[in-house]
Amino acid sequence: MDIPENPFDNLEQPVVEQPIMLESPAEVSPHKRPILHKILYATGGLVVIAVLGVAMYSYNQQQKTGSTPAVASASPTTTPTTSPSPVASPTPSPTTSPTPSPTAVTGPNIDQTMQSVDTALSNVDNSTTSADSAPSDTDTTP
Amino acid sequence: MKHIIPILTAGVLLTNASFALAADPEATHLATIQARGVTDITARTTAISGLVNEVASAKKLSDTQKSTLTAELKTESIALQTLGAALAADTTVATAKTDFQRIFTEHYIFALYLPKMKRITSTDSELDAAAKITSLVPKLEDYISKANDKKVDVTTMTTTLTEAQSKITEATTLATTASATLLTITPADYPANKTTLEGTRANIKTARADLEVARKDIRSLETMLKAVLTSVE
Repeated sequence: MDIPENPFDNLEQPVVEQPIMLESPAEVSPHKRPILHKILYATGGLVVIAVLGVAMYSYNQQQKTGSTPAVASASPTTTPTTSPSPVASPTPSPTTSPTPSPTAVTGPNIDQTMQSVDTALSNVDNSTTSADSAPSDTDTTP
Repeated sequence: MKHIIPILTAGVLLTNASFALAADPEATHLATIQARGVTDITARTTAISGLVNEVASAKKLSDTQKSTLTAELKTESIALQTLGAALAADTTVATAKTDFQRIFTEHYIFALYLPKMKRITSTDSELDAAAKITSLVPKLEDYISKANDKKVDVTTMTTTLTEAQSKITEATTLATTASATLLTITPADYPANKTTLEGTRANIKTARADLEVARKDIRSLETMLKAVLTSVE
């Protein structure tokens, strides 16, 4: 007796797809990184640059004024909404600093005063010469 | 007005002399003495007028000192004019000679008053110059301080200013002493006080030399300051 052929014998074996093997992040080549990662890296870099910029600006301001910035000198009890403006800050701003100007020296004009000294000394010379060369008071009875 | 009497006197004397010339040798001699008297008295009253103006222009003499000196000079001027009138009225050579000699023996205008007043004027000008230089010292000290703030070596500047101040102090002392001595000199003590009068000359001369050093120091300091500061004026 013939064994009837199994009708399923001629059927092709079902194609079993290989499971997708996820690669570890370290193995992912740069060109395969997701765009999201690039965005995150770029954003992080900008943040670092901004923080450094603010820090450098703050340092420079301190060097210029030689004092604590006005914001830092505000009273701790002052709320942000009532924070005094820089003009009203108890810390003097650089523009209102009472640094004496080079022209603050007062007194008589040096050159003019010395010219009058020259005149006075010339008068001394003239008077002294006159005193020393006074005419004789010898009796000259004719 | 003060010259009117001598001028009128001279006119009268010359007229009298011309009439008497040919007639009387003594009259000629008298006229000559009287004419010379007019010339010498006028020279002295003119000098006194100049001295009065100088006393009035003095800057450091007190008002009291000015009044005293002016009164002395005017008294001498009036006395000389009176003497001129007496000489003009003389009728003999003997009296004319006596009056003529009084110009030199009683008034000492050239022997005492002129040197005295001129030296007082010298000391006054010296004290004026010293005060003017002294008035600059605070300002110069400020400028030196500013130069020091700029990290400039101000050693020479400070030394120069110190020397100037020292010289001014010495000159002021000498001039003040000389002036005080001169103010006490009167014709009543002449010629005994002649040595005192001449002695003031040395003080005035030394004070003048001190002021010259101070003047040069200040000018030198001014140049040094202008080299390092733009605001010096």
